[in-house]
Amino acid sequence: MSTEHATNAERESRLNDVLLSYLEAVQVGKAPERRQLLDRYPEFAAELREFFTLRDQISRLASPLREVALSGGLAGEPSAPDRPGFDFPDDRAPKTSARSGAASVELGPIGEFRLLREIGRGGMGVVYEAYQTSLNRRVALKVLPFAAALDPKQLARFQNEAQAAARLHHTNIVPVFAISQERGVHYYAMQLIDGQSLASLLDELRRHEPTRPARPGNLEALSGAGAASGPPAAALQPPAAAAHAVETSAAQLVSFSTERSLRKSSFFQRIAQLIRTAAEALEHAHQAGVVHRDIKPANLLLDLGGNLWVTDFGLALLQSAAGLTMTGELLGTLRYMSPEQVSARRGQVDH
Amino acid sequence: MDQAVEARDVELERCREYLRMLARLQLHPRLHGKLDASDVVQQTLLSAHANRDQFRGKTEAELLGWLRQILANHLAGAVRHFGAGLRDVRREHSLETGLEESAVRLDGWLAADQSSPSQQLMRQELHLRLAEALAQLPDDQRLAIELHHLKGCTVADVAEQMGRTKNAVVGLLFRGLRKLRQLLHDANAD
Repeated sequence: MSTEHATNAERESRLNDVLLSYLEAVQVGKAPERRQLLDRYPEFAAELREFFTLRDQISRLASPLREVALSGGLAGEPSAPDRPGFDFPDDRAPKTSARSGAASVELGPIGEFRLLREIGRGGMGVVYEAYQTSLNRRVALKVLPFAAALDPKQLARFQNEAQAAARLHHTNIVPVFAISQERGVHYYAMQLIDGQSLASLLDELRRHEPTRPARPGNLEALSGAGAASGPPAAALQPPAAAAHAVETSAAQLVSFSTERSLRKSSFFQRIAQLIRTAAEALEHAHQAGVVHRDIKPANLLLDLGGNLWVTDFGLALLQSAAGLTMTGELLGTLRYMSPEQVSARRGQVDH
Repeated sequence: MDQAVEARDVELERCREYLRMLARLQLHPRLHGKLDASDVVQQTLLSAHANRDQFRGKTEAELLGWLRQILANHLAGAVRHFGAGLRDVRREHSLETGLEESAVRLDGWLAADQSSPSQQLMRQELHLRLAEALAQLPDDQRLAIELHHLKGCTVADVAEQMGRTKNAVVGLLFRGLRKLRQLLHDANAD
């Protein structure tokens, strides 16, 4: 009896080792295909399948709750001095980012990505600046908590589309580095663009009144932020004070605004050029068989060098799938849809 | 007792496990020995009960949101009370802010959810059931699952916080998830 018991215990321990190595591989972004694991350990096939199913199940439930913990729950992680937390006298020193000298607030890891700070919030998810461990670089990470609620078919559709988008290679299309999920948190890693979306720029332009003296302030560097309403009003830096990176963006804004108010032809030329750039990027995508489906100012980014980037390819399916009701909701944001898209005839949407 | 009042009390009671789960998510495990999530939740429900006239919402979602705010206040108070020896007004303030931010953030998330109302309702119901099911797990399985799946800690972190080997933690996760699935399935069957 005891031998049998010992054998079972030993077997369970070996299974745990297999599962552990899988989990640890996931954590550094090197997760093997599930199929591979099943092939390598046929004696554990049943348990492995069960394990994967259970993980998927908890993921569906847990991801919105994870946001509570990710957002800096009370004393969840060792705290930096300027961060809510509870220090025990014998606690470890606060974790600081390996990259920056200053104590940047680490919100927690997702896969191999360490979240550094939030840079934008949209309808579909939050965008973070993150650090990619394996490649030692900063990226923009879009977290999609409600992706976990999709059924497998919808999820597969979304993944296919996102993969197609990730194969696009164009100067004005934001490259996608990874699309994955880890413990239910689906995420989309892409190049970090220092700049802001056209939506936010338009917002600023609308708010800016040339007659009022400019107050000192900051424009947040947004990347991939789908926020339709833009960030809270941030006043502009006086043009004379434009010195570092953030203010370069402000300077762009000011020059845009000045040109517009003076109806300078250079303003219209600049706009036309931006539109042309966007169109060229989309044309490239179409040649590759990828349709964006949700082009709008929030998905067009302007970096500090004045270059335009199209972002969020492949995510529109997710947005619609998560919100799809039996009556069939429309893809894309209504205001910017093409007539073909609005009429909802399948197979005819080409932009 | 007034029918409406009774119904409201039953509703509040239903949220107990959900609030306990949120409280556990918010508190560092090391605090668990000193600060019981149950006590804080009990205070929360008592407050809610005493002030139920102030609640003007109609849906369960609104009720949960209201309760989360009360919970955040009580958690802040409890932690402050516990940390009374470490006088730091600035830290206390940031504790409260952090908690309220968390509560608001969760609300924000649920509000930003673009799925249909019926899907949202379903998800909310699942969260309530998840909390109830978690409450029925053995302590170590529940802790492992909450740390790893709800808080996002790595297996190594969980092992360190629980004082167990990584291998053992994985075992707890597997068995815990299995039991959890069974409990949720049974709850569904009712």
